[in-house]
Amino acid sequence: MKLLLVRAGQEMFGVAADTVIQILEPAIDSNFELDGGRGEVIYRGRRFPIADLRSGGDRAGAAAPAFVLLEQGRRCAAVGVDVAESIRDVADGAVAPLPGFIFARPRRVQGVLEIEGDAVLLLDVGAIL
Amino acid sequence: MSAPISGDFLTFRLAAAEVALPLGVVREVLDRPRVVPVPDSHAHVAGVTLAHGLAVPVYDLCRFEPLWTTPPPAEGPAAPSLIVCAWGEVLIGLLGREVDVIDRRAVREVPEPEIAQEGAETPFRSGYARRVAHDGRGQVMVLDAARLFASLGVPDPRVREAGEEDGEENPAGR
Repeated sequence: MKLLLVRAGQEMFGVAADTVIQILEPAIDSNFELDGGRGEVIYRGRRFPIADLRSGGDRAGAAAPAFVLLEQGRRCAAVGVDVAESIRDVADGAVAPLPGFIFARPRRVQGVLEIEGDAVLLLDVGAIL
Repeated sequence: MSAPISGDFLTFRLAAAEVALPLGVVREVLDRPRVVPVPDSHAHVAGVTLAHGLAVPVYDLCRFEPLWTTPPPAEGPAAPSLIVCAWGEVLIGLLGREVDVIDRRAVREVPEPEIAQEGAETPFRSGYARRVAHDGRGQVMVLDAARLFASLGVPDPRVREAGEEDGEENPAGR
């Protein structure tokens, strides 16, 4: 599977690349709007609710340096991150699942894997959307 | 009446307390592993680390309020050791420092009158630990692994063996 690696805070996350439809950087992209009040990115007339992974995921993401727009079926979201770094091909078996009992809220991370010495948290796109 | 002392112990320091776990539940001790915080996890979960290809949830017991009469400052990810415990098929990592092993022959139960003499104050809430005496170190608190892990929401291995659910919905802090 191909993963887009993004950094949010100190941590690296992986997101299934086939769910990514666009990466937006407010500093250089002007082809979208940000509705900070509603916590949404508006891109090509479509509203993407913002999910922010930084600071443990509790902060509204309107000030994120970058947004990764995700789509799966008819559902979509914009994940606020610090930077999108690269795309990597990893084996399905490389992901170690996280036990459900560690979560206090609905989980957005399904597992962890190691890429070049870095621990990467694999996002559960279905849970984010 | 406490259970008889039947095995060696791994001891470690948890805030100001010297605690022990039965050596039988300890899989290994890792030295300063990289711990990655996990969004949406409980406050007492410091994160996760990878060990031998498996994800090991890392607990900072100093942040687990139900354990303490007065919670101490958190150990934090800089704690030097991770005690990896095997509970059934589940691995659980506990942050700690000053890890050591003590022989059961150097340990004895502390009779109630002696506890009273020493002062019955313990940093832990009732049921989480029992006090034993060690020949060289004075008194050590032996954590009740079953009670502790159940409180953390870790599935009971006996239930797993019975073919029930894996504890996904188990609330921590029971």
